[in-house]
Amino acid sequence: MNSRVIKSLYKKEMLDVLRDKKTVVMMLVVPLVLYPLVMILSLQLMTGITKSITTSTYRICLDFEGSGEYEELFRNLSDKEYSFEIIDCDNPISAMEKEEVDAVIKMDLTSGMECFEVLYLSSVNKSSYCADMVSDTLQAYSLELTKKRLENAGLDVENTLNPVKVKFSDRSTNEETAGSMLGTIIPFMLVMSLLMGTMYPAIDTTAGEKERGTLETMLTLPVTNKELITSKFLAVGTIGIVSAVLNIISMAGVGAYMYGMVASVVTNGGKIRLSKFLPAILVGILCIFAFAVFISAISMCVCALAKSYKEANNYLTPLTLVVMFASFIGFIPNVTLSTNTAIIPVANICLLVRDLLAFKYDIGMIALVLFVNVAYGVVSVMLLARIYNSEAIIFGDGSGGIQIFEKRVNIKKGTYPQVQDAWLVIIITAMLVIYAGGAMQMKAGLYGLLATQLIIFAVPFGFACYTKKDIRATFKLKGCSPKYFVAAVFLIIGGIMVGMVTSELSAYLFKSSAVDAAESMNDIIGDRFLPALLIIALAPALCEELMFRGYVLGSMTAKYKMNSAVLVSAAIFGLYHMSASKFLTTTILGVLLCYIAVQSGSILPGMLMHFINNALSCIVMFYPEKVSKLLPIIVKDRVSISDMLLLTAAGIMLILAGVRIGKKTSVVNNEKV
Amino acid sequence: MLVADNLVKTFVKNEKRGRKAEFNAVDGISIKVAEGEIVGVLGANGAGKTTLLRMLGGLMKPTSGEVTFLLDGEQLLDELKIKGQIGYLSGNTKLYGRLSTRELLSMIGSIHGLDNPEIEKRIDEISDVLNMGDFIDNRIEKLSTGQTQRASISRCLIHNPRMYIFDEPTLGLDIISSSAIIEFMKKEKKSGKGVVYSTHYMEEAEYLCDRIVMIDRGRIVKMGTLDELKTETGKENLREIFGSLIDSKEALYE
Repeated sequence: MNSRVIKSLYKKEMLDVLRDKKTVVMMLVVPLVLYPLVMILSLQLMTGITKSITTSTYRICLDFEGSGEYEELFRNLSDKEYSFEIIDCDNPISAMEKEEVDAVIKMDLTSGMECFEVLYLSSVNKSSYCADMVSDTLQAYSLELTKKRLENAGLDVENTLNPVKVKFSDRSTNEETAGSMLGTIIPFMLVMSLLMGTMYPAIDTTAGEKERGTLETMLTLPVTNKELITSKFLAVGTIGIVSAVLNIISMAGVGAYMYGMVASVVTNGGKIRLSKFLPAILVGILCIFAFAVFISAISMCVCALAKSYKEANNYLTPLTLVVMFASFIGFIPNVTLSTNTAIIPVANICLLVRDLLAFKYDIGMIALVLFVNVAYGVVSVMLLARIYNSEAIIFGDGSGGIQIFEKRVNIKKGTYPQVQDAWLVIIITAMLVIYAGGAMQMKAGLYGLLATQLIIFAVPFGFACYTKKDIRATFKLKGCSPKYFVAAVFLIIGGIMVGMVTSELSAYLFKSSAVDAAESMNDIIGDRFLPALLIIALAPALCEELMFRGYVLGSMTAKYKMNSAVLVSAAIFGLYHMSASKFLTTTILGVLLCYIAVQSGSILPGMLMHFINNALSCIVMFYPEKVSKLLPIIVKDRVSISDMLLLTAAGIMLILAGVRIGKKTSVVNNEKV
Repeated sequence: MLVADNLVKTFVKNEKRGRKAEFNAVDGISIKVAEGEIVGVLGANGAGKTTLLRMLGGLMKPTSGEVTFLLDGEQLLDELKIKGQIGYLSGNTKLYGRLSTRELLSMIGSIHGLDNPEIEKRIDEISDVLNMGDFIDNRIEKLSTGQTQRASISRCLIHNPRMYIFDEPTLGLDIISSSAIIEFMKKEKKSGKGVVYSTHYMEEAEYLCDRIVMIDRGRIVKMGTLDELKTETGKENLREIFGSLIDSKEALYE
């Protein structure tokens, strides 16, 4: 890479972006004008409302015999800012409904006690505040009476009323208290402001450039892809950092404005020495840099896939939601920064900043989080360089829309599903499986599981029928040579062996998740073997294969390169099992299933593989003793390292054998060419 | 001299049933463009002109074949070095609207490795030649079509390249703007620069080109001087030659 080239490109990107009104508004006006204004105004509004509540005069009607004696009680409120006006009316309820009176008070003495009843309207603000004030007044009156009676009985008033006294003394310093309060909100604000700050330059330098047609100009120059990406990335990162810093300054400004209030709330009037936060601020700035690297790279990756400003904006919405969701982790009290959480993007920064503000400095953790962020950033930049290398994306003419929203008469008959439709199918199926499927499994157990499987089949099938797809081609419904079934058997036995190792490793990483999954499964399956076998092994073998290797894989291979199509669809298959501990194992299984489906062009060998795999786990669940006699390694609680190595080696050997057997013969290849 | 040897560019088309069909947008084209000549590339829409020129300019990588540049007898193979000897202009390349022409030129100049005094000198020269003094410091998005076209040309000049590649540079321009470009190409040719350019306008090609390359479906159908083409086909002018060589209906359908 040539630094001179990067420098001039960077200068150009900065000029280009900074002369765009949208960026400047997002970067300067929002943090420096809008935020403070909104916060200060809402603060003033709040105090104004509180003031009007506490200083109002409330109109009440005492609607009972002998109310005259009590009028004094409501008139004589020497130490309060609010006051009552006692109004006489003939029909108090209707007066209240007409809002001429705020509350009506009734009392009866029949039980020997003074039983008050306060009638108010919770739907009317003033009326419900009035009810609170009346309640305060009556409670004070009640206390007064109690004291008098105690005195008359000759008891010590204070001691009788408060026989137990509790005193709390907070040993946290003022700074610690303030820090832990700020620790919940600051990380969230930081993450969001960085995301907002990078969004517009990210769109502008990638999709915006494509839309304006200037990318071709750049390609005519002696500039390498890496130089181009690096300069864009530096520009977006710079703007992200600048806008984050401006956001923080503005937050600090607003904080200083409210300092009096905040300090008194947090520390009961004590002082906060800001100098104590200096190390946190310094490390925090490092965090901002690291996170800016990460978030600019990610948002640029997302935007680079889009052809226009509008499209890029649409792509960023889910990213924003994901980032927001991840930054909420900072709000969860018992999630702490550990080597596990440190690798979760966004959440790691939030947790680190929270720790810093609570004066927890773990140098190793700080280094890890910074490293992880920069590493993700670098990976994303490399991905971005790949995206920019693809001529299909640079010179491409936009992707098709989602077909289901087209008029049905316009849809061509007998075509192949498109990838946009596949994504929609995946999302709809996932939602149905999570909500409807989950509910049904809780209600109907094993048969709920069957219903879930039917959903997995019904959604893509319905979609394919509606959009008039070629059903046989879409779901790969055709026979194939027997050799693929032989290959399938090799692949699945090898896959199960490797899977045992990966699930062992995953279980070690995500302990709770594995235990939960095993428990919930035991609840559902019941105690009869045959139905369980049909529902756990046969149904998924049919339904999941048709969905994932049929609809999803097929539509993805039509659009993406073969390897990415296989990996993406296998990862979706893994994610769909909704368990962190199962993810790796199911994804590997997914890759093997994809392989045989692609090679044979048929859904059938995959179904066989899937059935064998699920049937085996079903057998293990029902007959652990018999299995342990035959194949002890399957039911062992802990697999030793040597066993693991052996299993991996044997599994890989079998898989390789399966791959060899299942490879398309060259005759078929020639035919295709 | 720009030398293209057996260039092939394969694109993948999505077809029915998820099958992918490959087709060659450029299917084995070899041409040479020397300094001091103008070579015109003619063909119907979709014939592969733009893909060919993009490969010549290094914007696209050929699927097979190779582009080299002979600079004073020395063979340049490096893509970036070749780009440094070429000024590429196409009808639909846009400029950075938020920059001024001067900023654009100095950015491009420094990418080409010129130092600041040199860049300033070149900008002054180009500004004189293309008469850009009035608007060189205005933002490009504020310029008129003709001014933008001049700014586009200036972009290709800043590094004083040996060779120009123009992809339909006169498409959609009025007579004044297009004749300015045509005259510019003639002048550059006289000063010893090579030009390879594509067009739909037959009369323009007749007037301008030393050699003409006719391509159809990614292949060269005919190549030679206007006179050679006339004698070989026995036709009067380029329009008739074009019509006789390329079945226009079929070509357009593609």
